[in-house]
Amino acid sequence: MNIALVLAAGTGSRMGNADKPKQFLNVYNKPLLVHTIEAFEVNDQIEMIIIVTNKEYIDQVKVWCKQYDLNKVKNVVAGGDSRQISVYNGLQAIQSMGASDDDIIIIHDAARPLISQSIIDMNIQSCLKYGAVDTVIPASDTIIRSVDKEQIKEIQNRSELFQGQTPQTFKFSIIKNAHEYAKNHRDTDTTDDCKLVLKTGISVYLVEGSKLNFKITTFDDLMILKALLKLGKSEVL
Amino acid sequence: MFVVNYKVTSPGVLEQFIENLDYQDKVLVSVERMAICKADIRYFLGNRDRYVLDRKYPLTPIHEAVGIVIKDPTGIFNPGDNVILIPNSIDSTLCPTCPHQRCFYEEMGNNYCPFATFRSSNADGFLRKFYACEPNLLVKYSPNVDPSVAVYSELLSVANAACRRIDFSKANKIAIFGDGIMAYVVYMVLRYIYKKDLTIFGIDETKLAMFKEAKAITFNDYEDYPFDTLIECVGGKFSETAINQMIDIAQVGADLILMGVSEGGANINTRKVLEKGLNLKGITRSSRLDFETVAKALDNKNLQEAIKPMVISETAIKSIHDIYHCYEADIANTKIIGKHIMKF
Repeated sequence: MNIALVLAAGTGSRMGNADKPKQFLNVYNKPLLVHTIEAFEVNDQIEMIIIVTNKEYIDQVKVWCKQYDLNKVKNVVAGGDSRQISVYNGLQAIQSMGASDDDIIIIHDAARPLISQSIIDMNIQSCLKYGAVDTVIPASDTIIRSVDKEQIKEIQNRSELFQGQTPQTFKFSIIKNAHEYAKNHRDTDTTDDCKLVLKTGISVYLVEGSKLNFKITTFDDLMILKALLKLGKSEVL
Repeated sequence: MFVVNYKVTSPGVLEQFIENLDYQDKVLVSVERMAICKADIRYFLGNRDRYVLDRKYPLTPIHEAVGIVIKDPTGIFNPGDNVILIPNSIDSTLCPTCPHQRCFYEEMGNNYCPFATFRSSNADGFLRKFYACEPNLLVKYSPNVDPSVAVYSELLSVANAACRRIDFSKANKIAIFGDGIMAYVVYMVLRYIYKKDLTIFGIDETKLAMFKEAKAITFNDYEDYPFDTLIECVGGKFSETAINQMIDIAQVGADLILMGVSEGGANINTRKVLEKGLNLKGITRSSRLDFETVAKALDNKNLQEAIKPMVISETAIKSIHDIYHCYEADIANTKIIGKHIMKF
């Protein structure tokens, strides 16, 4: 079974004065989260969707699922204090629903609404082959490493650098073991699931993402999204 | 839902756009196969009057497509149903005050309504992964039919619109002029739906060889056939020659059906038209009725086999470059009757 685990538990602290987390802001009269869920809802390979969200938004998210006919959403669970704990909570919910070790878990940020069908499909195909995959795009800017934020410590070869996106996709047994391993080692604040999996000695393979699959983190990102949508507005002539 | 679609923005230029697709209360369809029409190529190359083009761009091309139903709140379709996408529609709220009233004249159909919209012409087309529409703009077809075969349904529907208007009680000798894709599609409809014997007039021996169940010859081999029904599928600059040849070999009182698009007009022998009392009809537009006929006919294995050679290639659209590739391949193809099919 292919299960999408959509993370919508962020606080949106970088969105300035917004009165709600970014994933709940309306774009075209629909919360950003709903736009993202729809991409998985219409994908014929996705069989189930689990949403992890802020505790106080669980009822609201359930209402949206009904309102927007998101039938593949089978559970909405509470997130934790960190991304890692939120994913863990989602995995626990998936396990309690009878997941098997070979099930494919597609973990995606709710704040990436422009996820394409081909990226979802490639994640599933590659995960079936390798067991653990990460969506990336080649780094187009030079990446500067600075420890003190004042001077350059290191500039690595750009051809070897990629920017990580989501989905990150794993066989259930692999991601479950990685989280248990981290928990046993008191590692609770890792922001990337691939990093957890690598720590268990499992290789993670790359899937080509897209620049359009950017994360809405700041108001500037939201402006870019809206500008893209305005450009694309079509009319009957 | 945010979706990607592709538009021709100026001659030779395709661009990717992001749109918000509002599909509430509509059937949501995943577009599976698309074929490029000659009209799409004209808009892509800018081979229309500049004034016309300025009003068209940016325009999502493609009006030949099939898909799979994802959701249907009306309950008419089930998720997973294979459907043909109908490109023409009307705003029925205009009907009560419409001076033309063509929609109620079944022989012609609503595609001849001056207020009708047609995808990839005066409304955005199907070159997109997801499409939402009213259920009456979809026709279900059998899951046993290869989608790359079914994508020819729109062309077949146009051929059917012409063929169903033939009075078969009087049509004993039928000729098709042309050896291109339209001629081949009309041949398939007449042969496999209406079970008719046919003569095909063309110039390319290789292409004529594809018309396996018809007498396919060049005009030079013409002896003395008084045809009572002649169908022109040539179009372009050679349509004039073809139409005059048709007039020459038409029986008195024959029906001439014109299906080829010619931008520059055609100088035809009207004296002979009058002498022979010929009937000329122009038919390039189909209606839902034709799509339904074609959807049923696609179950015919012989028809499926006849369509298969027209699928020159199937290209998965992963980026805009793949679309350019298909356009360029279809533009360059002058030798094979068929198209380079696009799939998502």
